[in-house]
Amino acid sequence: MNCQECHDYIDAYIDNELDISSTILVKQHLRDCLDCQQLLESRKAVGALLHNPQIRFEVPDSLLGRVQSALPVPRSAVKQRSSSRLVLPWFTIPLALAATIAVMLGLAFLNQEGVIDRSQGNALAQEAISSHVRSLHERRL
Amino acid sequence: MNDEQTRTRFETLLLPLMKDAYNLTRWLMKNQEDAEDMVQESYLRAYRFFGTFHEGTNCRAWFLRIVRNTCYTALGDHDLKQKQVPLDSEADEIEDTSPLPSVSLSKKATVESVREAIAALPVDFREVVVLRELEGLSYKEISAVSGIPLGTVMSRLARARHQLYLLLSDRKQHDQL
Repeated sequence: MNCQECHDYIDAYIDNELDISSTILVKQHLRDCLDCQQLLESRKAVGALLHNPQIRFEVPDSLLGRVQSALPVPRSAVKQRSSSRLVLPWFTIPLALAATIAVMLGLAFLNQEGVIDRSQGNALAQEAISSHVRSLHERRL
Repeated sequence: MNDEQTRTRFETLLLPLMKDAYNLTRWLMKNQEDAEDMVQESYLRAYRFFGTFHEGTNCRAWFLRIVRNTCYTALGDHDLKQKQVPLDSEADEIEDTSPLPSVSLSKKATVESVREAIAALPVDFREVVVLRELEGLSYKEISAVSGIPLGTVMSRLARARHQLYLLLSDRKQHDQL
């Protein structure tokens, strides 16, 4: 192997990408050639600088979320999501009925105990009806 | 496999590769904003063509090829022609090697100066350097990602490393003045 051939193979030699026979030839040449030894050292020096993990660029934190939200939502997931909006849990209606009954019972109890001022309530209702009647009369005039 | 299972499989296989994809796009596009756009676009393309990916084959190489092609498409033919290395230049023999002592090179070069040197390479050289040195791909994988023959991978890598050495040596000499 001459120097030119060694130059051609030196990178593949460093990267362990050469077949065994070429590797042996490069090794033998390097043993006897100072220039090619120097070339090997310079390549290794560049390699050492490039293997510094800080040379790589780190992924910005926001990119993962950005990509995930840009990807199309699977159709089955859309169906599932839209259907989940329409179908109420089984206990919703009985719960609503129970709440209504509880409120009604509560009001009936308060009424029975006289907590709600009936006369005041009647007076307000009477006043509301009277004002409505008055407005009807005024419209006719 | 339904849509949801496909999405889950896609995310399981490809989201862990985001750091590789971003690093490659960042070096090819040279700025963060464009790199982020290219990563997103690459994932959308990969999702569209995920049906063509065969389980058990090299997922990383498959995805990086999409990433690389997305960047090259964005760089555009005109821009790319200016940055590409002429073919006759690739065929040239490696000229003057005259290396400086490697120890002084290692001591002088900072992370920033190495990054600047990589960025100064023509895009074809930069690509193989990033794929080999930063991503650790084999020559065969680089060939698959870049769509170039193995011999071209080897010659581009040799020339790229030589240029890097010269760039870093020049910097070193400049720093000493």
